[in-house]
Amino acid sequence: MPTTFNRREALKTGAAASAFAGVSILASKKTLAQRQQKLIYWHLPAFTPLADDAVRDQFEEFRKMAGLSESEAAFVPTANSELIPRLAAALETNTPPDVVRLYESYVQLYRKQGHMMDVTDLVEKMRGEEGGLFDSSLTAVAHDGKYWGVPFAINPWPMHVRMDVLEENGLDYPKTWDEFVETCLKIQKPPFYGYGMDLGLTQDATDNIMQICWCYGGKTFNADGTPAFDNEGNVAGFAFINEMYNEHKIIPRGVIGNGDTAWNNKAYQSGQVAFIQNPTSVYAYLSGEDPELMAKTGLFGVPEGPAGSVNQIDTWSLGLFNASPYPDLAKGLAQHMMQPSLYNEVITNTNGRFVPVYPDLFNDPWWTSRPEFGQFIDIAKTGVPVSYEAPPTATAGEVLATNVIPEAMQLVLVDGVDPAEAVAEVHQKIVAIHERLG
Amino acid sequence: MAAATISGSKRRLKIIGNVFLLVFVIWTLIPFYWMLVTSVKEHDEIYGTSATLWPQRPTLDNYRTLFFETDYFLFFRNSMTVALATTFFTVLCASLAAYAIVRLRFPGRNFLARGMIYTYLVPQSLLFIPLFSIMAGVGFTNSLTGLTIAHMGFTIPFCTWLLMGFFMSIPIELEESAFVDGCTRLGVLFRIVLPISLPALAVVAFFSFTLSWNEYLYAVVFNSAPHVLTIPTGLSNFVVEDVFFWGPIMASTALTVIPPLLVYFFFQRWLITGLTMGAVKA
Amino acid sequence: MLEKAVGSDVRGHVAAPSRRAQLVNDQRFIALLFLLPTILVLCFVVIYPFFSAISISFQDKMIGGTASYIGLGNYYELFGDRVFLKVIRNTIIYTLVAVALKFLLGLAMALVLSQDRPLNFLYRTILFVPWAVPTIVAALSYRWIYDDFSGLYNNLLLALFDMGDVISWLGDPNLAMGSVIAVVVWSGTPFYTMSFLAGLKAIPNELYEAARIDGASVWQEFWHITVPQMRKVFVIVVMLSSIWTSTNLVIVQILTNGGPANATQIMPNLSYKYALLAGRLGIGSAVNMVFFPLLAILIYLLSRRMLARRD
Repeated sequence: MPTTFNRREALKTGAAASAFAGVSILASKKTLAQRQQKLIYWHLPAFTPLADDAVRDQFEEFRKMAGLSESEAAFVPTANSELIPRLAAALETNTPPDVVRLYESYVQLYRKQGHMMDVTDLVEKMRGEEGGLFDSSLTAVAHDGKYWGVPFAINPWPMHVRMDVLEENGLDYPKTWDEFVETCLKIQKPPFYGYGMDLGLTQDATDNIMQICWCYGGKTFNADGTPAFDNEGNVAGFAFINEMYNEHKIIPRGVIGNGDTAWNNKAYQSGQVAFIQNPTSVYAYLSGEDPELMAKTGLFGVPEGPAGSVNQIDTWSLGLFNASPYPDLAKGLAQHMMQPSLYNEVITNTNGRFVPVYPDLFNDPWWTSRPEFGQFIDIAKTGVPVSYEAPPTATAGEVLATNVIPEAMQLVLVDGVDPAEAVAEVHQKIVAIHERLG
Repeated sequence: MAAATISGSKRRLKIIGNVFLLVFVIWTLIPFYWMLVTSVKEHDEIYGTSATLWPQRPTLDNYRTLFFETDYFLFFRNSMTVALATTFFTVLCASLAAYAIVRLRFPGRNFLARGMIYTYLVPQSLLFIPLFSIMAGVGFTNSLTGLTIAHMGFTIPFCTWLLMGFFMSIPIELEESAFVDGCTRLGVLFRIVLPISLPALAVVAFFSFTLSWNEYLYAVVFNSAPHVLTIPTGLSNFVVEDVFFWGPIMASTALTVIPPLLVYFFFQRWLITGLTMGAVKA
Repeated sequence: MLEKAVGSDVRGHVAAPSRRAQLVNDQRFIALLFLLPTILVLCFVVIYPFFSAISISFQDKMIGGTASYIGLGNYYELFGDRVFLKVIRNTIIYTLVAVALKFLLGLAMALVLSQDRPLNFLYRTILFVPWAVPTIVAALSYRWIYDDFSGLYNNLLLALFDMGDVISWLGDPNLAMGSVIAVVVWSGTPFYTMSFLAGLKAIPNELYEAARIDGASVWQEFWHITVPQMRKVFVIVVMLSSIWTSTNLVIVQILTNGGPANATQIMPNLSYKYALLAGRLGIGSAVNMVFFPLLAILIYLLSRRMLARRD
């Protein structure tokens, strides 16, 4: 075969292919202008159908108020597991939604990258409402004197307790962690275990681990955000957890194989454990699906350690993005939804899943008629984020998302690594992350 | 004498085969059995302290939830459309491409043959972002067409390769005799090569259909508008943060398995088509 | 007119150069036509994303952030991490074992199913079920089956034997990898079974008949007829399955998410963790690229064998 033909043909096909690829690349760059809708809201499930409907109704209300047609305003339900890939793709093409509920550290991360809209005016307005806002929710979205997210909900982490089992054994809720161990030893009868702690490579595991370390005086960050994991409190906490798992055996062995955060929920829902420390997603689920078990469930703050009792809260906020072509519409929607009366409707319908960011709304009969939530207002006031002692930061977010702490904990539990060594290693990793993101 | 020994060893093989088959069938069915049984259990039983092998009070509640509280029929229709389109176009493109690579001479032939497989070296979890970027740029997001094309990107390389392997083992004499009779290339492909390759085409069709039917990541990222959602998206509705609603999840699975099974059940005779090479003498 | 030219040239061995040139041109044109749809789709859907993923591995790109080229920086970071080396080892073992098991089981089943048997069609359909089930759901179901307390296996074992404690299929570091591989094998064997079945059906019966007449034993038939005839299908299936098995993150993610203590952490999961959970697309892509050379060599070697033509 004549070779000259070969080369020319090959070049031609090669050129054609690259031209095609090139066109695709160029075409993909100009995506922004092609958005049809003026307002796009991604709705993460609010946990109960009633709450979801309430949010949808409020969205519709605003749409009509703003004079938008149905095709110009999009209410996009997004499951939690779908959010990560969808938002990643959206950010990469500079087409994020106008409003979406974000976890605390993501607000800070995206702010750092320049994606978040300055919503100080909105938040100030909310502060002006009767009773103002919880300070913790403000810290979560604050930076440099401005606010970069609209606080939406507070998420406490109470200990869910099988009160009936305690009663049967004539016991009270343990005051200290040592008493906790004793109580568990008394009430448990494998396969019924005491503490359904999450120790898998999951986000909840980080929370459960730190919730104990804090009671021993541990922390992850200093107040200024610098890594401070290398401390005695954390070592003591790690050692205590190791005792609970390997010595006292009040935690089911299989928890270190958990792949996601649902298994301790299920363990509690199936009556296999007496205690779990979890956001009230469990409680809310029970109120809808298993009222019997819900009636037997008590909600408490964590037991005390040598350094006292430290409770955790997470903050969810509505994020508004700079890429929004109609920022006034985005702000309008957020403002509409955060009006106390409308907002209250959504929050109370989540059956305890979320706690309002307006302290005043705790006076609503939904809360006052439920004594089990009595401690919640205190937890909301005094609770700390998982990034304690610092406010939520991008570094804290990555530490949480990549399971740095549970990984080390597992080494202690499974490979017998010394807690001090494990803690030191975690500290190094956090320092490395901080150098990159800090 | 020889015949007796042969049938004896054949019988032994048959027995061994049957034993293997039984064991394997049971092992295969266990999880599926679990899915089915869970899908008809009441909530209390699902969340009971121990696993029950048989539902105590079978209920269709989970299916009811699926049909009436979600847009399951719409998801089903969308998934079916995309899966069928993917299958049809994959078979078409892969057949044409495989034939060209195997029978025709042209520059870049080897490169193309090998190059296609390299596309599998980067997993979906890394490809989806730049792919989304392209789809958005060309306006193919929130469309079933875009999703079909994305699925074809995954099915075509493998299917082309499988068909290449098959076409290569078809003696060229078959085609040559057709050329003598004045057949075109296309004619040879459709009238001679493809009918002989039915087993391979069957695998291609099952593969494409099933892959497209069950595909999750692209479906979730490219399509978010309600009218183009597919079944895997529907599944995510039943996982709310850290709570799995197992009943509807299993019900959804039990139903979702049916179309691929039906496709397979009815078309498996294509797999059986034997090759009657001996019948054609050059 | 063109077709006639083609036909007569293929048949005859004597062809004037000009005719041969015509033939070549003709083939190229037809090839282009035949290949156009495929090339279009692949260019659009694969080529740009593919090269994009490769180039990102040399950048410090974060999701939503700006990027700059850092050469081999990501790779240095990876190879300095003890966990990464463990992940490489895990991935290789995981892939080898899973592919080997799938191969043996798939071949065994294909052979068994090609025996004469009533209801074969039913068995074939049953064995197809794992493929019809989306991987996510298969993984979720198995997660439950493996559960310590409400799991099927433990409940069965407790009912049948008197065990002191439950077996922690996913929590015991010694069992976790095996349990995960079992799910991979469950989910992926039908692909082998079906491909091998199709391959077996394509073997001409005359070969077997001729062997039988010569008095070959069943084993000889298998080794000297079946295996050589199936070689191409073997190559395709093993090659592709190796790639797909080693890049599929769903099963590990749902069962153990890499635990306990990274016993089941494999490459695609680590890549996902970096790329999407930590938002570090650059190093996430680099994780995948580390395996690239291994897999590319595999493809090259196997495809060379396969593409060797008789003429």
